[in-house]
Amino acid sequence: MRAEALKGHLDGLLLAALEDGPRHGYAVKEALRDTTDGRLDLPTGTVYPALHRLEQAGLISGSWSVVGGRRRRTYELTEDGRRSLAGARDHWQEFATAISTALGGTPWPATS
Amino acid sequence: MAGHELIDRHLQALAVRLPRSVVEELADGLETSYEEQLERLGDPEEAARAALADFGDPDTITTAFVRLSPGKTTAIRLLVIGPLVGLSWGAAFVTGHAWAWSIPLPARLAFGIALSVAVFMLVLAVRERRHYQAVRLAALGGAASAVVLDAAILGTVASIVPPPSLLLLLALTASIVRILLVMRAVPAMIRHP
Repeated sequence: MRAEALKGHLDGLLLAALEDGPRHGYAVKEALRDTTDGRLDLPTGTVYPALHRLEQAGLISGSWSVVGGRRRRTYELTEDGRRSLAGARDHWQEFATAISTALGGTPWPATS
Repeated sequence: MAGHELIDRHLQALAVRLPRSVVEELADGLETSYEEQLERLGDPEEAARAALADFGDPDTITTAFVRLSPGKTTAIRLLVIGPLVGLSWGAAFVTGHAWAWSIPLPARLAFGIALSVAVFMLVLAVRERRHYQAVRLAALGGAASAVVLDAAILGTVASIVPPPSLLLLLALTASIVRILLVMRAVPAMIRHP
């Protein structure tokens, strides 16, 4: 799937990838890829700036640990992040329903 | 660093442009990816190339981080409100016949230089896309110059005590708001990330 198609949905996808618990950046990317059967395979490097943006917005919080001798930053959802994720889901349902209806050829109500 | 020179080289390119903590985080992701590719492919060279292809190029990554930096955001805000502050002072000066004020020439020159420095630094911070530290320093310099300008102009008005007017009040408010905006933004620019 092309990156342009994700515009406007990336934040919700990243928040969803953190819903089950804390993850580091690479694990977030892997979770997105795995849950979509490889259809969403973002470049690793683009996930990190997006996570920083979400952290600045207060939707996730990060903490450092040391794993295998390397410093690792792990992120988890904040309460605001959970609310934002719920909002993104509602918005997506509305959007998907509207587009599916339009693309599915459902006839417009008769005007006569 | 990682177990392959291609990975190390990539991280060094990022280290020149981004803060250490960001590079450490990126290094963890890239090295984890390399280890997974090595396990899958068996060949270090192929694994490094696959990990780098999946990771993305340094330009794209650094541009994304620089765009998010507090320095960039602050510089954009100051450049947007700068003309408004300038216009409000211009209107206050014209209606208050500021040309009759007894301000020494060196002070006028210093004001002009500080204004030029502030604009130059802020434009530099907004235009720079690849070097996080350059953006941070330019934004800090521009913000500090803007505060010096506002403080100088407030001090001048306080010492001259021109006739009060609505336009003067508006200009004073604009300068105070700008000083407060800078004071609020500076800690994040110094601290982050």
